[in-house]
Amino acid sequence: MIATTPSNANTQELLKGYPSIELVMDYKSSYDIFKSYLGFVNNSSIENNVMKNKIELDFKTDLQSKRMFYKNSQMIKLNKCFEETFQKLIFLSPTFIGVELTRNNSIFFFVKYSNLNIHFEVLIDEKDKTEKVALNIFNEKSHILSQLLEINEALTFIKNEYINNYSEESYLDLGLGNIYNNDIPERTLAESSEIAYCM
Amino acid sequence: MTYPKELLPNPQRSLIVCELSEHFLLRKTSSKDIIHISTGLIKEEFITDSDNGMFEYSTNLFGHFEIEHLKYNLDKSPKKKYFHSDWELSKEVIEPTENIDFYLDTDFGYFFIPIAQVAGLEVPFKKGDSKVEYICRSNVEHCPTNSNFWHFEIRWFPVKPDEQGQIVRKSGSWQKYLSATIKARIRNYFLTETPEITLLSESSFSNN
Repeated sequence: MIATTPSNANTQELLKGYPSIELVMDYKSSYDIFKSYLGFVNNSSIENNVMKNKIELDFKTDLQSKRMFYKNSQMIKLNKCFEETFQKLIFLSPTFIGVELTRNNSIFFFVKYSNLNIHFEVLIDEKDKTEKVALNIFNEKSHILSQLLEINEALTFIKNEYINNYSEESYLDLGLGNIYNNDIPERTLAESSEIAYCM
Repeated sequence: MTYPKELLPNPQRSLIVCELSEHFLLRKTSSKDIIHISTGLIKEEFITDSDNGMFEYSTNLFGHFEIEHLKYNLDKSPKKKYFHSDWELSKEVIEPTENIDFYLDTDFGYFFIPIAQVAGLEVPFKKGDSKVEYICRSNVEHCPTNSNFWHFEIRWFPVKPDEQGQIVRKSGSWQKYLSATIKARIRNYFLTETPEITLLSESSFSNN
């Protein structure tokens, strides 16, 4: 896959404060060599920062390219929703996150964790105050979950059901720990087991 | 160039109702560049044009309908509605004419969907704040048109509580959830490489 650099002035404005894709890729490439030499594995804070910058850039580029489908107010809402959701998803310590802004007012996150493919589509409804997530989870061969939940419910459900050795410590150095502590209510396994599974 | 006879319905053909779980649906896209750079999955715009499109989702049964057949692009304007209308069983159809009813596409893409992964999917949900649990089931149905005998649709039907028989069409928040579910299936199981299949036997779609 080839990363492209947005060229017009609007995009540059939108991307202010974010590193250029060339810089991110150079950094990632250098880091890969360094990591390979030392035999590092995933989940260092450096790698998470690279992934974070890349995903933010992916979203802003997508938002810019699809701006004709949205009013300004919707774009602001989409941007806010992306930032809030992404900050929370990164706490799950995924091995991969990708993001796609759809043309139907939703933000689709593709998250890989261990052998799970997590399809996390935030459905933004102008009438609803709380965004809902269409959460679909696949393991290697099966579709193991399909459910409509609020964002925080979905994140807590994933954490409780699938992330056994979850640790907050590795993310505190990203400066995001407070967001997790404040925004994601704890739920018990009993509560999350009420959620229905699809066939 | 004439329109391929093998795509046209004729009175000797019948509806396909046999087991198709080993078969694949073939979906045309307007570009070969179908993979999203960030997710590595099919771009949403190539899965469907809109959320409504997931409720009577238009595809072709791969096999007798080949990749080559995707190049026949029928005029979608209202005056050519006949060619996109449902075929009436046992009726003869009018053959489309090149540059009047259809033109040839030179640049298009495609992907395959395993039928086993999108048929018989039961999805539970609630409407708004209602406590009532609904279940909808997806089905892959043969829906031949006057220009394409091999046209199939993925459709949703309510199976609980008691609305059997009605096709789900309207757009709303819970319908968006059903759409997201079937899109997740397609994103997770799509193929871009041509799968190996056994051609459907003549007896599966003929009156004789």
